[in-house]
Amino acid sequence: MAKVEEMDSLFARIVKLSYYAGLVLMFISAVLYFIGINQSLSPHIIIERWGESTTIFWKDIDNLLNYKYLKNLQYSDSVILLAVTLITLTPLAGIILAISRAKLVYKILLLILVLELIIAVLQPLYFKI
Amino acid sequence: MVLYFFWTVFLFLFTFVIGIIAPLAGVGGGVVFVPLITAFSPFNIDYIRGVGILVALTSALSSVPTTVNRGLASLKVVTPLAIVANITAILGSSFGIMVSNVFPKGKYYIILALGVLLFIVLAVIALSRRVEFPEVKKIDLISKKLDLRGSWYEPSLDEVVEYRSTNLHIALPLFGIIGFIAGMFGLGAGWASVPILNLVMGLPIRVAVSTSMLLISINASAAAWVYISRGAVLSILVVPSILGMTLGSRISAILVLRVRPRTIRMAVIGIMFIAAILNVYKGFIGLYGGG
Repeated sequence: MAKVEEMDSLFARIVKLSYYAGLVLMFISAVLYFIGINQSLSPHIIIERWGESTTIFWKDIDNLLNYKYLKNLQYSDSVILLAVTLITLTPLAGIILAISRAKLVYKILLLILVLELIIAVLQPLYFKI
Repeated sequence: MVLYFFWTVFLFLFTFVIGIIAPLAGVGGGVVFVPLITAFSPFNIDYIRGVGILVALTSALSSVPTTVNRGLASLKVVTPLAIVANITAILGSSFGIMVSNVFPKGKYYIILALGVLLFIVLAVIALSRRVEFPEVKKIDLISKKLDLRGSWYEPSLDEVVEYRSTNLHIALPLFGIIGFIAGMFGLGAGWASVPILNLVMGLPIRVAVSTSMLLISINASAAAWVYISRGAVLSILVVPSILGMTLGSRISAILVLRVRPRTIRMAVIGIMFIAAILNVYKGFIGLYGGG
């Protein structure tokens, strides 16, 4: 049998768990959103503005921008974005847990990777375009 | 509202079909999704790229646990490449959003560049060969120090195949470029990374494809935040696309042994060629068409 490193098998387990959790959450919140329950952004506004750039689209509405959806989880579309967040954080979660099973040189490299991914999450808040 | 439901259903069916045929044709979902939706839909390219990067991420995540557990992909090989590609992917996605928001006709520059990029993708697909088991003669110093090797059980040979990777110093800058392109256009860029992993780093083709998916999952997760935080991820696009792609990829995995990939590959290349022409045309008309 092929030898799989401990850090890899732990990473794979976490990815599977977190990814499916994100998909289930997305499916449930999407059903609520598409039947019209607690929409923060109405479909009419989306249709009106989906041809515009993000700057124009969000000119006078910003309740979902810059991760603000995390503070408005009573809305179904905020929960959809929470599910997207969970799916996007999946590799980071897997890598953080894999560090504990990695050899020293890979502990260092994976730590650098974790740091980069954390910067990737936070940088849009500090470097406005 | 009819328009709203039309696009929701269309995107689900479209990504469902892409999820089935793109892996059979040997390309990722993002590189088919982004140019075609850009050519045919009313959505601004910001939202298409935002969803494109998430489509690439989810299609990669759905295969990663299986390939990693089989030894076909490992964090060992991917980590040094991801460290470089992540930085450029973040820069690429920020640059892409900046161009389409700061310049008055910025979105047309992106569409035009996307069309040109698609011609390059098609050239790479047509010209690059695939080596099933490349021979690695000399291992560079960094690859040796990092012990970049692994093994997997190959059913067609009924044996465990061992592999080693080399030329990390050449691959790193190339992955820097790939990361930037992936972030800027919302693509996974497996079309570029597989040949480098296979032909430059000497990984067997099955390992190269699986390693590319693992790399895309990390890389796309870094690039996606710019799009998420800027509001470039709209529910109407992201939900049907992710669900369609996930379901389609599942069916593709079942169909892979029963269909003729060559016919599908030719069909997908043909569609991508049309999308490339349309994007170049749309970009030119937007920039110089007197609008």
